Amino acid sequence: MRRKNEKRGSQNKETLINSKRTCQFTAANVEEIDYKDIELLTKFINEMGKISPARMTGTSAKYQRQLTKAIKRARQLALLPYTDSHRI
Amino acid sequence: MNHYEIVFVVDPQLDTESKLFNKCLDTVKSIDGLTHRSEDIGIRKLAYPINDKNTGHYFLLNIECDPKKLKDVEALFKFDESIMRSSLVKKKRAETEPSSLLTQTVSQLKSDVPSEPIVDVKKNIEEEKKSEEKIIEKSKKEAVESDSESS
Repeated sequence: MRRKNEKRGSQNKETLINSKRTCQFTAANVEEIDYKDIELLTKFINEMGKISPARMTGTSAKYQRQLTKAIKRARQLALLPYTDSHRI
Repeated sequence: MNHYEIVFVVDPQLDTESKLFNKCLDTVKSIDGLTHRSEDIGIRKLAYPINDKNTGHYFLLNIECDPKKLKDVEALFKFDESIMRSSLVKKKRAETEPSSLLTQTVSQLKSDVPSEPIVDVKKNIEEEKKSEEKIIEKSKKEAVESDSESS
């Protein structure tokens, strides 16, 4: 049984997921994620402008729902980009 | 009485004196609403161009009013040519502290200020180079002229 648990693949996966596992909103006990806080929201989108998945950032499901809403509101107001291919 | 948050973006070239913002404040007063927070955030660069424009003037309003009379405020944004984007969000409580958008825009502007003198220095260097070149050219011309005169 030990050998099975010590497989390379499973270890790598664990290290990837565990690298940034804690939810920063749960830790700070945030009431509601502000859609106007661009410096915060830019941490949760990649270079393409896509919303990064919760399994990469470690955000809890409750706050991931709030986060997607906040990012989409910010995009509507031209505070955040939809993609990286906007003609500027 | 419910709490609402309004953010709207205005074309800075069409609405230079923030007329729409003042109109908004007046209408909120006229419908017996309360303004808890009103911010003129200023001109920001847009994340993507809207109608071939790259900058927008942002305004923020936190109001408390009767939901039945909210139509009067919404009508302002529908029939205005200078408006680019607007959003109205329901909130749970009144917010009075300065918003993160305002503080971030102000800090951005501050960080942009020191970059300007560097540009000026570059310009000065370029101008000095140009003036030097001119002097050299002049001296050359004079030399040629003196040569032609002597011959």
